[in-house]
Amino acid sequence: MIYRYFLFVLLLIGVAVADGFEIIEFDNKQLENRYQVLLQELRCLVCQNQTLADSGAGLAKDMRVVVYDMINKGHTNDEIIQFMVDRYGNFVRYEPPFTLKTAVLWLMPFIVVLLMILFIPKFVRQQQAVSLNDAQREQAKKLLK
Amino acid sequence: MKYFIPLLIFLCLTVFLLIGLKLDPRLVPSPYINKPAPSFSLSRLDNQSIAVQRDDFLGKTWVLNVWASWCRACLDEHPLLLSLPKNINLVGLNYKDDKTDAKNWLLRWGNPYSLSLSDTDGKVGFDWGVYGVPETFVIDAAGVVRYKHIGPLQENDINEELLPLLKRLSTPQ
Repeated sequence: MIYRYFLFVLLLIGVAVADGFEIIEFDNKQLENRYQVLLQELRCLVCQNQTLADSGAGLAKDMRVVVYDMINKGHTNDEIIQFMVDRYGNFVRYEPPFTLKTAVLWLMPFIVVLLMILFIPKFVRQQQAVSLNDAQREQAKKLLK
Repeated sequence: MKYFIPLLIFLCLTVFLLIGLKLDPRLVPSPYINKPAPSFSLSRLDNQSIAVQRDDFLGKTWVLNVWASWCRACLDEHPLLLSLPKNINLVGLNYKDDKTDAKNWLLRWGNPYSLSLSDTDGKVGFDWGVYGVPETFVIDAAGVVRYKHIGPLQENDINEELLPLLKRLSTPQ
């Protein structure tokens, strides 16, 4: 019984320290929502598979501070993202934009699925059993006994 | 004959995979290549009262090396920086560092820089798109960024890329 309580407390402590990030305060809820959304749209350059929201890297923290300042100074979301893209290129966008260069990246899954739909039936048909006439069927039965 | 198309696909994939093996997926190319270097105003590491601006470097090609005393990889490339030809203007950007630690580091390991600039809060580095230390930029006489190297410089980077580029840029057009 005591053991279960102990485990529960341990779990709570774990959850409390899981977010060691800075505490941010905004004047209104709208600004805070914009901040959260932007953090999910920007990539951490150090931990490159994480968004700014998730990354604990020092550079990510610096970038979060920049986003915070820019929101409070009245910049739009587009201006803030462009500010980051000017310095780090399109890679800083967590979702790559759809441009000529990234068209292959975006469309390849659909192309592959399309090709599979077109070509798999052909391969399957080639592998289907050849039908036998009656005489051949009798012979097969004899051989299989 | 029916094996030809799968074989062709396989060979194409092999070529792409072999090329991919040589690439570093962590490299983020700089959006500043062939664009003007971002402006800055920083004080010198050796003399805090002297301010240095981007435009102070116009008129001659120069190399900016981002370094810090806490950066282990900077120590790896350091001997190569010390061995660079002396006619290259190598400027250090001391990134997010303590000034005393930085000065001691230079005293201990040698100073390859004509001067170092104190970017204590990293804001200038951020403007230049620095995300990992060390990084090295080449800026031409007109103030345009021509080259960026991410990570410690190695001998073949210097011999095959840096020195030929500097030679090309210093040759009058």
